[in-house]
Amino acid sequence: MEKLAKRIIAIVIIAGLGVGGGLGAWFLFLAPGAGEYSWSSKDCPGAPSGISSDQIIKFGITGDVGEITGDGAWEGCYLAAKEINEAGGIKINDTTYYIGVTREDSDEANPNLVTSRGIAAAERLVYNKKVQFGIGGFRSEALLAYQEVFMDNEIIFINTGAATDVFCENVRSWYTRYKYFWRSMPINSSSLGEQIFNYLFRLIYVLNATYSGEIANVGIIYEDLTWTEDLVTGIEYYFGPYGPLPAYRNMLTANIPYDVTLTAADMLTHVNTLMAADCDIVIPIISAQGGLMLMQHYATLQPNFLVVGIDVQSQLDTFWTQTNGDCIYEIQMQSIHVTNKTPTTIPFWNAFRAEWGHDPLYTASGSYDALNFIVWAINETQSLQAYPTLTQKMETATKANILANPELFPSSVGGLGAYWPTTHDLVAGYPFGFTLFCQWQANATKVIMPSYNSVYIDSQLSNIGTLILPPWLITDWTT
Amino acid sequence: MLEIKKIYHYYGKAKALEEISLKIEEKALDAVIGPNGAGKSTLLRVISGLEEPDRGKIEFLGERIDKLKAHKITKKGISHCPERRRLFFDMSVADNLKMGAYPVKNKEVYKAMKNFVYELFPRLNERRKQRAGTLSGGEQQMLAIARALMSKPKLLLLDEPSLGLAPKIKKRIFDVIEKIKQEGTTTLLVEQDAVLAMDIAENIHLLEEGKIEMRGTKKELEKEPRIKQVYLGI
Amino acid sequence: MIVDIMNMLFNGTLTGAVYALIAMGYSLVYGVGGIMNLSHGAYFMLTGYLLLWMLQTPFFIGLEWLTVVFALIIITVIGGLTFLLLVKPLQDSHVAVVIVTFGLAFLLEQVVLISPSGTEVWSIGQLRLFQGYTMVFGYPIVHQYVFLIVMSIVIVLLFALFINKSKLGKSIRAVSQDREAAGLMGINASRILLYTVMISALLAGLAAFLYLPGASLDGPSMGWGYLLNSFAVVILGGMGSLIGSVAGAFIVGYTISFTNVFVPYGPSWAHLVPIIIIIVILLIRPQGLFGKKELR
Repeated sequence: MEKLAKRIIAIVIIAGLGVGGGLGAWFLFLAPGAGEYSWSSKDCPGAPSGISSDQIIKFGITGDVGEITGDGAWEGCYLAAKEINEAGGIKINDTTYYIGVTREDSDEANPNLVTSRGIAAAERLVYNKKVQFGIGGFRSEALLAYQEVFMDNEIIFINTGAATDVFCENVRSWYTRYKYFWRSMPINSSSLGEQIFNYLFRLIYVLNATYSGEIANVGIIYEDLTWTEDLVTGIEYYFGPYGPLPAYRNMLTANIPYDVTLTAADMLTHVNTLMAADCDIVIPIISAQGGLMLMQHYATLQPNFLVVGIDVQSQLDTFWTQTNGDCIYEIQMQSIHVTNKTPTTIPFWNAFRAEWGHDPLYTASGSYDALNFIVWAINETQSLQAYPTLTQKMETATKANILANPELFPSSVGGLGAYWPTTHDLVAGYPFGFTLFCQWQANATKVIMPSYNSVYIDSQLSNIGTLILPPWLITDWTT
Repeated sequence: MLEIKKIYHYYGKAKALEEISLKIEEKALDAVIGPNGAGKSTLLRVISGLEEPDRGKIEFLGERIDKLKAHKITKKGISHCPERRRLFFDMSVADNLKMGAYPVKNKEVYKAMKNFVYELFPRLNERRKQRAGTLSGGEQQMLAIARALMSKPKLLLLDEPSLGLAPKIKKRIFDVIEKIKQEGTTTLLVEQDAVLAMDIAENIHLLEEGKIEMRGTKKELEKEPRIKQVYLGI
Repeated sequence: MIVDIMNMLFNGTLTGAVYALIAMGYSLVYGVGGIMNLSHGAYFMLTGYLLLWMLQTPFFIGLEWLTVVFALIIITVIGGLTFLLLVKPLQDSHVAVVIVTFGLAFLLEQVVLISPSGTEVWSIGQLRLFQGYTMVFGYPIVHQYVFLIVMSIVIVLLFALFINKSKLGKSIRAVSQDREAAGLMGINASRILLYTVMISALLAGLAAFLYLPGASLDGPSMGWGYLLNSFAVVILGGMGSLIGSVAGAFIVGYTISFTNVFVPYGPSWAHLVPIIIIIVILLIRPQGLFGKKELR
C-alpha cells in the first residue's frame, strides 16, 4: 500500500509539473486558447481599442518562436503593422481597416526537424485563426512542406527566410497552384553564391595585389541542408576546374558539409582540416550554432585564413557577447545595416532598434518589406482578393517599372524591392536585392566592408568602413 | 530472544507460511528441518526482513521488527546467511568480509571479528585476496558464514549451509556451527539434512507445507515413527 | 597526412574524454540500480546553462570559480531529487523509470528554453582555464583541451580508486552485484542508489564544466545528442561496466573523428556512427565488449 501511495505521488508530481508547466506556457504564450480565434485590437499594434474583427486585415506569421530567425519575422511584421495602424490604418472603399498580426510556432530552427510541426502551425493560422495573408519561413525543408497549406487555401504567402531556388521555380512551372507564393528575402541561393563569388573575386584580387599573390586556396564549410545546396554548387563551380575566370580555377581545396547536430569537437576537427588544406579564405554557409563554434576555434587557433561568408547568428549585434568577442574579424553577409541602401533603411533600422532593442535580422527586414508590399497592393487596388487583383498588382513591381517610376511602388528597406513576374522571386543585384558584407571589428562594432564595386557601388552607400585583417594573418602573408 | 507469533505469508495467492509461532532462547541453537519447498527459507527471509509477513508479529529482544527493512534488521543484530551463499562474486574475500562488517563502526571490533573468522576458517585467510567467485563450493560456504558473522550478530540465521557440499566438507561446516554456538551466538539453522541438524541442535522444528508439524529435542523426535522413516531413514 | 592523423587522434581523444565522463555515470547508475536515466544528458546541458546564468549575474564578476562550485552542487542536488522524487517510487518498473526520466529531460529543456538566454547559442569562454595552443607535428594542440583530457583521465582514475577502495565505493559494487545480499549486510541499497545517481549527475556536471568553456552552449536541446552518444558508448562497452564505458567512449570518439577527417563527406553523417554502433553491437554482441553475459 505504501509503495502504491509513493508511486501515485510520483505520478502526481510529474503530471503536476508537466501540466503546470504546460498550462503556464499556454497562458503566457498561447492565450486565449483553442477553438475559433477571435481577432481584436490586441492583435493590431498601434490600433485604437474596440475595433471589431471585420475591420482587421489578418496576417499570419510562421516561424520558430524563441529562435532569432522566427522572432525576426515576427518583429518585422509587428513593426510594419504598428506603423501602419498608428498612421490611421488603411482605407478600402471608405472603410478603415487595421493590420492584425498573429504568429504560430513552426519549430523549424530545430536541428532535429519535424516538418509536421510547421504544417500544424500553418493549419492553425489558416483554419483556426483564418488569416488572409501569410509571411515567414526559414528552414527550406519545413517551408517546402507547409507552403502547401497556404497554396491549398489560395492565400498569398511571402517567404522571408528560406533561400532555396526551388520555391520560386515552382511559381514558373506550375503557376495555377503556386502563384500565391512570393519571396521578399533573401535573394535565392544561386544569387547568394554569385554575390559571394563576385565579392571574393574582387577581395582576393585586392589582397593579392597587396600581399603578392598569397591568396591561393579557398575552403567552404557548410550545413548539409537544402538551402545550402544551390549556393555550394555555385561556389564549387566558380572556384572549381571549370570556373568562369581562369585565375580562380582550382582554388577550392577544402569542402566540408556537416550535419547540423555537430559538436564543438567536430568543428575543431573541421577547422584543423581547413588549416591542413592551406586555406587562405574560408567561406562558412551556416545558419545555426556552427558559426559560434567556428569563430571560437578561430579565435583560439588563429589560423591563417580569413572567414568570409554567411553566418546567420552573426547578423545580430548580440553575437559579440554570445561569443565573448571571439567573432572578431569575421566577414559575413547581412541584408541591412546602418547605411542608405534605400531612403527608408536607416529610419527602419532606428525604429526597429527602438522597438526591440537589438539589430534586425534578415528575416526582420524581409518581413517588414513583405507586409508593406501586400498593404501597398491592397491600397492601390482597394481589394482583398488574392487572385487575380492583388497578385496581378504585385506582379507589376518589376525591375523595369520600378526603375522608370520608383515613386509608384512601395518603399522597401532591403534594397529596391523588384520581383520577377514569372517566378515571384526577389530580383537580385544592385540596387535591388543585394547583401552587405560586414566585418566584426574591435569593441563590438560591425563595419560595412567596401565591396570594390563588385556587389554594390561603394560610393553610393554611407558608412562604408575599411577591412581590418587579423594581425597574425598579416604576419603570415607578409613573410 | 526471538519470538514469532502466528506468522502468515503468501506469494501471490500461494500460501508459504501458515500460523507459524516460534520462540528462540538466548544462546540456543535451533534447527528447522523439513522437505524442499516447505517454507524453511521463506521463514528466514521473513525474519530478516527480505519479505514482509502478511499477518502476525515478530519480536526481537522485545521489539517489533516485522515491518522493518532488511538493512535495519541487520543493524539490530540479526545476520542472515542466505541460501545459495549470495556472495559478492566480483569482490575479494577480504572485501566480502568488509561488507559483512558494514554495520560495525568500531575498528577494534572489526579487527577482532576478522581475526575470529580467520581463526574459524584459516582457509579464508590464505585466500583473502582472491575473488570470491573463484573459490570452491566449500570455501564459498565458509565465506558466506564468515561474512554473516562479521557484523557480530546476536542472532545468526543459517540457510542450508550444507547444500551441494561433499560429506567431508559438510562435516567441517557443521563443526564450525557448533563452535559458533559454543562462542555464545544464538543460531537458527535451516537444514534439509535432518541427521546433521539433529546432531547439533537443541530444539528441532519440523516444517511441512508451511506449518510447524512437530517440535522437540533430538531425543523426543527420534521416538516419532514418521521422523524416523522420512527424515532419518532408519 | 601526418596533420590529418594528428587531427583524427587528438579530436578522437578529446571526444572520447568527454564521453567517458558522461557515460561512466550513466553506466554506473544502470549497473547499480538497473535505472535507465534518460535525464542524464539534460544534466550536462543544464550545468552549462547554470554556469551561463551565473556568469551573466553581476554578483559573480571576479568570482567566476564560484559559479563552477555552485553549478556542480546544484546539479548534484538535482540528480538526488530526480532519484528521490521520481525514480525511487517507480523503480520496480523499468518502463516507468524510462518514461519519467524522459519527461524530466524534456521539462529541463523547456525550462531552459523559456529562460532569457535559452534561445541563442552562447560561449562560456570566461571559464577557460588555459589559453592558446602548441604546435606538434604541424598540428595545433589547444591547451584547454589538453587540460580537459588530463582532467578526464584523472577523474576516471580517481573514480576507479573510489569504487574499488573506499567503503562507499565497495558498497556501491556490492549493491550492483546482489542488492538483496547487500541489504542483509546492513547496506541501505536505496541510499546507495541515491548516492550513485548524485555521483553520476556530478560526473555529467564535471564533463560540462571541463568541455563547454572550450566549446559552446548549442541550445537547450543539446543534451539529447550527448545522451544518445553516451547510450552508444554504454551499449558498446557493456551496460554497467566502467572499463567498458571508458573504452567505449574512446572507440566512439575515434570512430567519429576518423569519419570526420578521412571519409569523403564524412562530416555529414559522422553522427550516424554511434547509431550504427548501437545496431551492430546489439546484433552481434548484445552484452557489449565488457558486459556480463545477459542484459538485465
